[in-house]
Amino acid sequence: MTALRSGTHPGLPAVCLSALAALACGTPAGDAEPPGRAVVEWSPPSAPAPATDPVPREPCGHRDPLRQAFFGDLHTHTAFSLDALGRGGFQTPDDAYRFAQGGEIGLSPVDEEGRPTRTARLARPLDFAAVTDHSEWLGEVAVCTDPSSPVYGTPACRGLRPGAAADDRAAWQADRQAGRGPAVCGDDGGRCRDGLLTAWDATRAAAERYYDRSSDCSFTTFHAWEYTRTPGRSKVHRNVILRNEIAPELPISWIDADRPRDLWTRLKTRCNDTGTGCEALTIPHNPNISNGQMFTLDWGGLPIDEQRARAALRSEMEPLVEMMQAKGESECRRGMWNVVGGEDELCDFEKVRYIDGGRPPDCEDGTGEGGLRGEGCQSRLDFVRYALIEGIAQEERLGINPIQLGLIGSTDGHNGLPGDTDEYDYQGHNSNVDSDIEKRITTPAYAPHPLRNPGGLVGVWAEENSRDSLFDAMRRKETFGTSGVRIQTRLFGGWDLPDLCASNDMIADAYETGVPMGSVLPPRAGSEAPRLFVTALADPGTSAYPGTPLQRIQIIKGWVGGDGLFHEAIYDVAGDADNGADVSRGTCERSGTGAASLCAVWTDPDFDPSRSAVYYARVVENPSCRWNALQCAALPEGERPAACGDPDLPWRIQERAWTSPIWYQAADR
Amino acid sequence: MLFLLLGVGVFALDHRREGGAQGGRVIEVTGDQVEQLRTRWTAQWGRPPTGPELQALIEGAVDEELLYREAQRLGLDRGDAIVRRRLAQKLTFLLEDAGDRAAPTADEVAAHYARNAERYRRPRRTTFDHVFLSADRRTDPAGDAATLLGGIGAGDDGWKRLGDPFMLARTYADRTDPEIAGLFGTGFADAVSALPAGGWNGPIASTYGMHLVRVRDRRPARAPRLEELRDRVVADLRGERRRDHRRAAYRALRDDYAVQLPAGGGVASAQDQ
Repeated sequence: MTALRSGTHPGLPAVCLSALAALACGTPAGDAEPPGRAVVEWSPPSAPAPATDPVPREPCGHRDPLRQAFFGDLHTHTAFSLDALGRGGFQTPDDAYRFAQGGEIGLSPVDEEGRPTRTARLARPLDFAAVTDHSEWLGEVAVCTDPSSPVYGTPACRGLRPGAAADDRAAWQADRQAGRGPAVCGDDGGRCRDGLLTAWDATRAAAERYYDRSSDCSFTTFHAWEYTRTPGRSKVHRNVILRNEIAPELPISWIDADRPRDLWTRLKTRCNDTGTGCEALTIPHNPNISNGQMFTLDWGGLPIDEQRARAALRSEMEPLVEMMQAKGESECRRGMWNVVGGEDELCDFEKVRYIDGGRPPDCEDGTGEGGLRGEGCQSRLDFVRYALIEGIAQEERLGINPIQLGLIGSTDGHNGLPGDTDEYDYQGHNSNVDSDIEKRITTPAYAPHPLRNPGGLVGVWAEENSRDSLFDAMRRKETFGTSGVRIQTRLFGGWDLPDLCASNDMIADAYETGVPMGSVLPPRAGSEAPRLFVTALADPGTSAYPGTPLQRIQIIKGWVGGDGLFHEAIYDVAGDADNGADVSRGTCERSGTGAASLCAVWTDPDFDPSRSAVYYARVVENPSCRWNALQCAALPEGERPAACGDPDLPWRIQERAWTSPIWYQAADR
Repeated sequence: MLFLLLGVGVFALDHRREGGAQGGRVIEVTGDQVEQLRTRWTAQWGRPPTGPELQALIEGAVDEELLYREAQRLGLDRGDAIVRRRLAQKLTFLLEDAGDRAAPTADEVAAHYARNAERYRRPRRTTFDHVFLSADRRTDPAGDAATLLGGIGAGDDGWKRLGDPFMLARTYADRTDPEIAGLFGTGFADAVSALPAGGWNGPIASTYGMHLVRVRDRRPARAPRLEELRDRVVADLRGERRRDHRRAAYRALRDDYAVQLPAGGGVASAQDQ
């Protein structure tokens, strides 16, 4: 066996494999790492995807060429994830998929006989799900939770497991300091490599067991993992989703690919460029706690061709962004640096960084650290709306838009409960840490449980519920995100759209005369402004918990002005913001009326053909109670925790959906 | 760390007082144990150990046994929460493993499948057409629907031009009842599930308005062949065996003990965490 290869940036041979990565190695720019951290490649490195035929499947019985909305969750952790294990989790990938299909699973805490004391079940099963356990320390968890492992009883392994003594925890922390610890992994890392393979194979086997390949097409799973780079406690995390069961030997973590672009180059060499049918895409999440690090493209000093190469790589590998999840919504925030335009009060929604009522400092055009702990500055690029405008600015400079992202939501729950987004029975996301209402609505030193939420969902417009059909839709960004509800919404754009809201074949006509969301408008002919067709249906809910009617649809437009500032404009295009509907805090009863469906064909009244622009739709429900208000209201008055009366805790929300954008590219850039 | 140093001190004092083999204690290393050490090394390093390496392994094993016995003799394992928990956890794994020692036979898998047929059942699926009348666009969608129903043609495609624009499809193939509820609401799904296959019916209310509905085809619920989902059934059976075995073992152990709890079961005073 060869010795473990390890080194320090810059100039590490293992990292400087491709031309793109080689550029990165010599450049201390932007998303480059502070010097001194070791990068550790597995020995031998992960094998690329093998050349095999995909497992055959039956064609779906319910295929619709005009596409249908499927709801899913592309971000779920089980106890294979180190942090989930540490909080008392015990769910497996099989449990997660069983739950997504409507099965009941147990939750911690466990009683004296090891039985779960809580259970959870989805009122409405999902159409698809992906288990995305952290690839970091996935192998170490497998090694240290296997009693037959020779190092099971060592201090470092004991320290990895929950409930460890301080000495043991210190031993584990010291051992993993170098990325991969000799005590747990062996001097050549081989033990953890084997452990990683075991855990990854088990994860993939579960995905195979629960994927319905019959013509019923009742449920789809994706092979996936989370890449969890956290420089300075700022999130630059990405979920990696694979098209099918053809996968690289091992998942990639920041320990062996320490910047997102290293992840992308490795995904290309081990998957997308292998000609095997393997295909990966990445989905970033929580830009809201990235201190500007998620989308700041600090390429300024590089030759223009190299900047273009980096933009192309990013654009190729990363088509989507998770805009809503348990740790907050990342759409927009009022009053950010150098952003001008419409006053958007709906931005005040599920923000996890309103800790103690304080507003974080603005990063302006820089970046900061500490977002994971609610610390450090906040950048306008922490919000997807302004990141999309940054993409336009980059495109005007480079000819390639590196941040041309479709929108999704997911949960990021750590209890193995994909799609568990209903406000009324939210049971927390972190096992013992937030297992009862008292814990959930009381703020500890830095984990803002009361500001967390049940999470979002992803909607995909696809012909059928199969891996290929859903993955193709993600690639072309024909997706939408929701704050957890099941609003269905579609957006189309074009130059000559007829009055599609009056058409008896509105969707067929929309594909005929326009392009679906996720697309760039075709070149402009003549001088007319772009038209957008947007339509939405309210969430029907269930008989026990009927959905909330829709209040309105808005079109959000963003562009870079002649003044160099980021401009935003918000237009109400359907429904009525003043419909008078409301909700009572004491009883959570909703009052007033709204719409069951909304539709609009809208022409941009302020169109400037010389300015590239991005448009997306936001569909907003009437007000309803947030989970904390619902759960407090459900308790007898005498049994409510004191924090139920906390005036600073948000209690009233407007659930919503966001379509993927449509882009207009000015011809003369 | 302090605990460790104290422990070593106690051990050293104790050792000096009692003296070596005079205490009559023996550590025997058997040939089987040496063979185990050799096998584990080979599995880990991909080659057998050299002579000196094997010697070092044996010395290490003797040292570990010495320390273990002395620690036990001094009672260091008692009153230590970590040791307690680890032992309990280890026994749990052993109990679970004992329940899952052998792969289930084909007969056992078939029996498990038969016992849980309901869980594996493929649900009923319905194919239907519908005409939509929007509650947002009309003042009396139910009345309008009833009027339309009177004149709807049986054979041709004329129904496709009736009703209001709708962003979803006019025809749904092979949907389960929960899928129909997800699309149109529970009340609609319940009503459709009661319709006979054949002609037009209605009006039926959904979340969005009124509908005329024609069920074209209905595939009854079916039990899939075991071969279609054998992997899942095997995984479920093994999981169930591990759980059952663990619980049975807990129960059997409890029978050997009299468990005494404070008044009220101790629940009122217990704080979780």
